[in-house]
Amino acid sequence: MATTEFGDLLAAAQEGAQWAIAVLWRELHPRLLRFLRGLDPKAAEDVEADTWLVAARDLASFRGNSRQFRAWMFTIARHRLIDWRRREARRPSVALTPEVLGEYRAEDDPAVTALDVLRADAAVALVRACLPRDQAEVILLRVLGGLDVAEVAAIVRKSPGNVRVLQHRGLRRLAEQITDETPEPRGVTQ
Amino acid sequence: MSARDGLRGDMDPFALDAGTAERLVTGAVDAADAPPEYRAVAGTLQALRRAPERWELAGGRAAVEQIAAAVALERQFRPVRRSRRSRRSSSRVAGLAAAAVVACVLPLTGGLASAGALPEPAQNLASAVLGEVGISVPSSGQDPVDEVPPPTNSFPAPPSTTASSPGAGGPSPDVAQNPPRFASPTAPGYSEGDDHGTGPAPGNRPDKDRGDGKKQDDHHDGGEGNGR
Repeated sequence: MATTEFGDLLAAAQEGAQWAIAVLWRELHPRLLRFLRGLDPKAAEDVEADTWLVAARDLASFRGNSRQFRAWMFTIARHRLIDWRRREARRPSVALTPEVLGEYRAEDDPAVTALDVLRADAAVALVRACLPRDQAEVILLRVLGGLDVAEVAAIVRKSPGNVRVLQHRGLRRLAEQITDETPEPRGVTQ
Repeated sequence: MSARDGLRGDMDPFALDAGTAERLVTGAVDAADAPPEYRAVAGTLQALRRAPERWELAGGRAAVEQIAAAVALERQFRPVRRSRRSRRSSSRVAGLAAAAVVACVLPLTGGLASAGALPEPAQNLASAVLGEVGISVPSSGQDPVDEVPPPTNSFPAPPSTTASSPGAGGPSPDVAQNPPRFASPTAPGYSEGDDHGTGPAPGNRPDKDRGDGKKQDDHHDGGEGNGR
């Protein structure tokens, strides 16, 4: 989104214009929801709704471009999730089996292989199942937030070098896990 | 047997350079063009970026209305909050200014009063008021140096004799008999000021200033402490 275009959109949203808020919501809501589901599916819906209410409260004081707005929203979402975790008891981790993964596959095109039709929520579940939380968080922020290393480092309060290490480990682990656990339906020929 | 088993040996099949890692997370590389061991990862990350599905956007209208209402509510209350805050801060500034004035004026007035340098009515008033609390201040008719000096060095000896002389605690005949000694010959009208100014004389000023200054600092610190 162009800077001036976003500036006008933001100004309208800060005035409370529903059309502008709808544009922002449509752009960011799916990303935020996927990010939160990748970290804590149980909390995702509530925390995402909470994120928008916090954003609405502080929207008037926000200054920046669309990229900074995105980073701001992901920062709020992350903080709200941390708060939520403090309040709630820790959920038991559930292993993601190929059967569970199969439930996420799209039904509309049986000709294509599993990963080609992997739905976004299945990809989110895969990342969550395969990676430790800090690695999943970094990869989800980079992919869903469209943020660079420095921006992610600022959000997770780690050094850029640390973020690169987490990202590298996460990608590698993901590759190892997918290869080991779902060799047949990957659709990747060796 | 997986591809990983086949490659086991010298090569790490999951070796990943920084450039490829960056291309994977930014979506710059298609799954088909990714290194074989990372094609599944590239596919997974692409799936994360897929356009939102219908169910993900469900309830959008209600959510947007709720957010818009929250923005409007915040806009309604924001000016009130700001004016309250500014009112609070301006009253705090006024309080600090008043405290600063009191902290500066009181010691100065007290010093002038003890030196007998205030205008006649003020000097009389200061003499009466401070006399009530046991502080000896000359009235307008009295010459400060004619007063019986207190046990402390209220009227220090001139620099030539210095306050550190053994007799500094008692009355100095020189001081009593020759009060205008420190009058500047170049500034005749200044003699009276310099007379009571045995206090502010160069040799004694730092002691006096230090005493007053300490008192002010203490007061100020206390004020800050309360403020916090």
